[in-house]
Amino acid sequence: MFWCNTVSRFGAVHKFFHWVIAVLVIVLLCVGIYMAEAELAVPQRIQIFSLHKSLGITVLALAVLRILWRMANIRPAHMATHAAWERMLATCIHFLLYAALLMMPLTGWIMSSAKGYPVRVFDLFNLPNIVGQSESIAKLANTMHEYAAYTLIVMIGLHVAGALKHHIIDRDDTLRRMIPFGRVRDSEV
Amino acid sequence: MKRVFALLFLCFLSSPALAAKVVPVWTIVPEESHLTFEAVQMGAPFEGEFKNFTGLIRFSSTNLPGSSAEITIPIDGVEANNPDRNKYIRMKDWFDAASFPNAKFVTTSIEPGLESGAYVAKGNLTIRDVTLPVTLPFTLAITSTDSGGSVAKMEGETTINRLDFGVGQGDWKDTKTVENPVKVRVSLTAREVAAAP
Repeated sequence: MFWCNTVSRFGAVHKFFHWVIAVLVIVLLCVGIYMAEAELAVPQRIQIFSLHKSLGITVLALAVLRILWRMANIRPAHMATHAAWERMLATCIHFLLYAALLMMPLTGWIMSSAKGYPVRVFDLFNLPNIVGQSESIAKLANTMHEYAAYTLIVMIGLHVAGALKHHIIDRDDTLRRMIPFGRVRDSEV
Repeated sequence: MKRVFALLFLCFLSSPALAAKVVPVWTIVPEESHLTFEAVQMGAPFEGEFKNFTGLIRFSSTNLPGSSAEITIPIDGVEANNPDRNKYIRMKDWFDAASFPNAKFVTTSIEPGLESGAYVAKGNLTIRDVTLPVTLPFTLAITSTDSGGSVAKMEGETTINRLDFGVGQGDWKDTKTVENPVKVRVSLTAREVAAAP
């Protein structure tokens, strides 16, 4: 498996970033919804919030590395089966997904700092407070974090739907070229 | 007979009981006095303060055995710099302000410290329903004011373990959430009242 992207498929590094971040984001969304809905006793709340923050900061770090890797690599070309409106929609959704990967952890970090709570990463170290304690900033960050999460869920839905549409209906390599060890039918460069 | 009475009177004057009774009383100046603490929550230190504490202090550097302090600290006066913390710190699992509205510190002895102006107060600290001996080293500087009175500035610090006093029950006993040692800092300004009878 090539480490880097080619014009017809993604390299191993890109696939690693995609799937690891995808799993973390889904776990984070589930934990986040649980945190918001469940009536937890405060000590458990603190522990689960800390886990959520730790995973979130991990995604932030991976996202930054991933964006840098993407900028340094060629992107596989659109396929013949991709219609013009699909290309535009995909570009939009992908951009918004990247934006969410940065927006979600950042708004979370801001919200935590503004509420006066530390962001402790896996019991190893604390991140500095990104802002000072402020109720108004906390409320704003909270709203942004919440609504960005809902938007992210919709975008993931569209992203998955698109991948499945190409795989099942169009029967092209769109999904296959992101799967680890997926064999791509088009010739590799 | 008069000489007997005079002698008895002299004995009475020099008795330790009376000597102790002339130890000056000092009133705490609330605006210039602070009782603060520093604890660590999830790896991050935070400070809090107990306001509205009151005390009866008798002190004379030349009569340490006759010196004492009795401080009453209303739990309701706590300020932990965070709305959630302020709510929980008063609740049953923490200070349980409803059942134990006050903490108390009563000295059992005040001894001289290693340097001039340094002292060590030993006493009993009561938080919730637990009373334990605590040592509080402090420094003291007494100055005369223009109006002819004396003002004392005292600074002391000690560390107590919250779990010893049952502060933080159930799941809150986990010291990863809130660490066990808590630094307590006392900064008092007090004015000498008079040699109290």
